[in-house]
Amino acid sequence: MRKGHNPAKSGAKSYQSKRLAIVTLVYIPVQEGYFEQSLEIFKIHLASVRQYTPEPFDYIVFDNGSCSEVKRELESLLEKGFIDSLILSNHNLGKTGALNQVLGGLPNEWICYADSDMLFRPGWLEESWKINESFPGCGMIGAQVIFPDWDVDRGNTRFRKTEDPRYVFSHEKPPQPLWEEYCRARGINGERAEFYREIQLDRVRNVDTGIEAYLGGNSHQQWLARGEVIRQILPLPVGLQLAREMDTYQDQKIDQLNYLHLTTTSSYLYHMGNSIDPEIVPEVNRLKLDPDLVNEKNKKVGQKKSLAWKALVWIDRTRQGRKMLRRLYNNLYEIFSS
Amino acid sequence: MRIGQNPAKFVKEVAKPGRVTVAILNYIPFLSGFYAEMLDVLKACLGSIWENTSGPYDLLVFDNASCPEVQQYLLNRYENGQIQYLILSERNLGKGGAWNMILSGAPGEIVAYSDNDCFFYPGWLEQSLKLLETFPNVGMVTSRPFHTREEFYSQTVKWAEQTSGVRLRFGRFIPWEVYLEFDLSLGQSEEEIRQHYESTDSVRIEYQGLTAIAGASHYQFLAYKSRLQQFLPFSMDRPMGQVKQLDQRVNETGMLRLMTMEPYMMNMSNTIQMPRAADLLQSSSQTVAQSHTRLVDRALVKKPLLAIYDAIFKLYYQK
Repeated sequence: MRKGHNPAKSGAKSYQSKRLAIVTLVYIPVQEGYFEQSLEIFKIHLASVRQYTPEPFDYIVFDNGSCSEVKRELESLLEKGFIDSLILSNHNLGKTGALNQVLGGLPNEWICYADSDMLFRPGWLEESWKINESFPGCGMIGAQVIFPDWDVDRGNTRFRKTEDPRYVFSHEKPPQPLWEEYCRARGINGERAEFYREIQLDRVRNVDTGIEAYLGGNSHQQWLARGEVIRQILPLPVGLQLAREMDTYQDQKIDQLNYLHLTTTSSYLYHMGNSIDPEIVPEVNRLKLDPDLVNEKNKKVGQKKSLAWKALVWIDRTRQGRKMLRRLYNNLYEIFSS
Repeated sequence: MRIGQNPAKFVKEVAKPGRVTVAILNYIPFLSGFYAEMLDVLKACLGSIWENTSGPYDLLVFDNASCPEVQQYLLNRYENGQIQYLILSERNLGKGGAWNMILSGAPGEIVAYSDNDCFFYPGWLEQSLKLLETFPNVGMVTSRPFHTREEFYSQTVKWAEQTSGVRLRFGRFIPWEVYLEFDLSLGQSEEEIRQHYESTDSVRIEYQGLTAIAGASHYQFLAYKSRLQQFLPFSMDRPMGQVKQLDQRVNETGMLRLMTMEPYMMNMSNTIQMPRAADLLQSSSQTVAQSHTRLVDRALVKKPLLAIYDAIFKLYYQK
């Protein structure tokens, strides 16, 4: 039975979600073989997200059945405030099953999804916003260039037919550095690399703003989208743990709903995969998990202006003061509940 | 860069979640004052689910920024495989924020939601499922009858009045002891409860051989996940107190809100004491008697002391 007054009903404000949520999935079943460096790579990803995202956001991790050591590390990162919400699943639900579980209920206006092996670079969000502002009707915006494998990857069926003179379309082969990095990061070589060297990328330019984008409909490794758009394509089909067919479903749905699917023309992300490429070591060395980036809550406590609140915060500074407040709280509770 | 093939790409099947996800929302910011016994309450709640739930289900627990001791308890249960999905939030998202994640993210087709202070009796899930699956267009089923607000089940009554083959009756169909037990657990006085009981009828609905009481509660309910999707996401700026939005919206859309005829769950609130109604009556009347004599119950004293109590909580809460 209820005893006393529930202080949670006394008008305390609950946390209000930020405009942007960044979501990732972690699956590291063992820390050997293919997954030997995966935890380290995830932490680099996390540091890059924290360091290069220029506005407040909620960072949500879905652990899709990783081993105990990895879960413990995630719990520790949650405790330190680097992760805002951690979802632990005993079973591997597959990528789409996990995304179904996370994405539908996020109240954030914007959602960014990224695989946990993606390295974020400075400017990724700023450039994505520019595309959103210059090309109305964006469904998904990727911050890296992705080469299309299938026709469906190109998306933007209706946009390609637009007669709006503000938009100028062109085609081009990938610039050499872009092609090299793309293939290197994915371990692509030989015939397939040559195929990509010659591939035609579809570019669009807004002549009013000068902003350019690639029409690329397959940014599964990372995308930015409005929550309301994502809710229209859920649930994603659940099946194989990792399969290109599953990714294609979301591209098709975005296209069928006549949303634009664009990417930046430079890569503001790097696919780290399962090992740290020597080429990105200088970038990695510039990253660190800085506690100052996540101590916003403590600042908030100190921001309230009333004198009584300031007095409480002042008393709470010391161990003795905290003890006294706790005792006072407990005594008051006992008085009112007896 | 990627070296080798990701072995996950060779896996041809993924785990298939149970049809029912039992979802518990937990919030225990510290283990003193109002929350002194809450870890025991949580243990009793989860224990009653493990003990008294038959049929396949997955258990999902959403922890809304509890203290480390509580999170550790949940992590241990998760590691033991007694909790299939555990969501840990570093900040309290309020009930609305938690519901957003639970009601959209629960992997099962049916969500059996409950606050963390609910004790389940044997048969709770089967009996609730019967109502959910037999009555048409059901929005919510709660696993015991108690007094709920009429305006939140008006559409259920309307449906019953307009549907042939449905028998609708108004009267006192909830036994006094069942009614009393639950409302006492909410901290109401016996006087208040009796007044409610005598001044309000409950609504009994018979359909296809099953009987239910009209009404349901956001506190504990079963629902088809797909039917609740339209109400998401909720926007609530306080941790508690705005939850009636769900009851209201479900009713407004014409979906049925039903309760089982028998009590299959009980509210524990913040203590694990669930004495018989007679014992509770005694303690509640003692409280009433005391209230006339104590200085601290006079508004002039009580108000500032409660303000201090709430302020200290907020200080802890925001950390």
